[in-house]
Amino acid sequence: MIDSTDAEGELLEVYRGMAARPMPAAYRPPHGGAAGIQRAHSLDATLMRLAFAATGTMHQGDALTWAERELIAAVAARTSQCLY
Amino acid sequence: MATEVLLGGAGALAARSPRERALAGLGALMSEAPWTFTRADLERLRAVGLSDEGIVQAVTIGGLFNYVTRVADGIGLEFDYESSLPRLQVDVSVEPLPRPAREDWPTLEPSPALSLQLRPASEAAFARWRAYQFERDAPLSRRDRAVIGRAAAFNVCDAAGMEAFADAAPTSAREGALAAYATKLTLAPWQMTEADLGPLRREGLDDAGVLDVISVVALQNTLSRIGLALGAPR
Repeated sequence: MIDSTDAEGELLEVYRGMAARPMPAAYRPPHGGAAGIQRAHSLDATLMRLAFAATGTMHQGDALTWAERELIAAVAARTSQCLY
Repeated sequence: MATEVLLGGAGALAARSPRERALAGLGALMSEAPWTFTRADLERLRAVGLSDEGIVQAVTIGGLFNYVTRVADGIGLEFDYESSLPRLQVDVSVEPLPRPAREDWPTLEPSPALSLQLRPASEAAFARWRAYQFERDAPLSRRDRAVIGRAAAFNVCDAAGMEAFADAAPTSAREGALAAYATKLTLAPWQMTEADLGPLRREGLDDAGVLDVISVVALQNTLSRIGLALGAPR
């Protein structure tokens, strides 16, 4: 995996774009770098951009509150016994 | 809210509002048994006040967290967020629910009222993402991608997904390895280990190739589960 501090070119731009997105503090890891799930995509900058563009649309609109979105995500992940 | 529900177990969930219970139920169903969705499950969401767009958004979130979890478990990520939840103790002895026989898979009844078109930004993002994952030739070939997509769709009982890859039954050792990996990551991501990558490595896949496999499996899981939910029969 390539961390944001070592990224260049398209990957660096994608990392910068994701870091600039508005998000709750809980979505920012305490180590200050990119989250592991983002770095997991770092060998393919285009994939990273496309995947997180899709996940970013989860939060658009006001049909669900942030807490409700988190509830669905957390239950879906826990049902699969996944920390993420 | 999610913290309270997950920390408190069934009792805490029972104490939540009908709307929250419905949303939690949706999240669980998306992960555990998406082939069992019926229109009644969606009507339950409408009954607690969700608009059609809200239902589509909720289904999309449940689908996407079947992508995130498979990438995390396929790669073996260490959790690096702060969380008030207790550290999850994964029980690898848990087996996935048995899948129904092919003839018992749902026959979908897509509804114009519940379509990704209600959320055009999501629809466009998924279209671009799917094209990238299934319509290129490196590191995996298009044929490899179809084999993986077919195996993932099969293991969530997604007939439409299978049909999209109708000619992609494995016919070689390489394709068998890809399908076997896709099957396990689809059925029981919590059981994935480094050893599962062995057959892929032996087929010559490097780290970028492995990421390609994992992300194709994960995306097909997302697309199949969203399709099964939004097209749920009556």
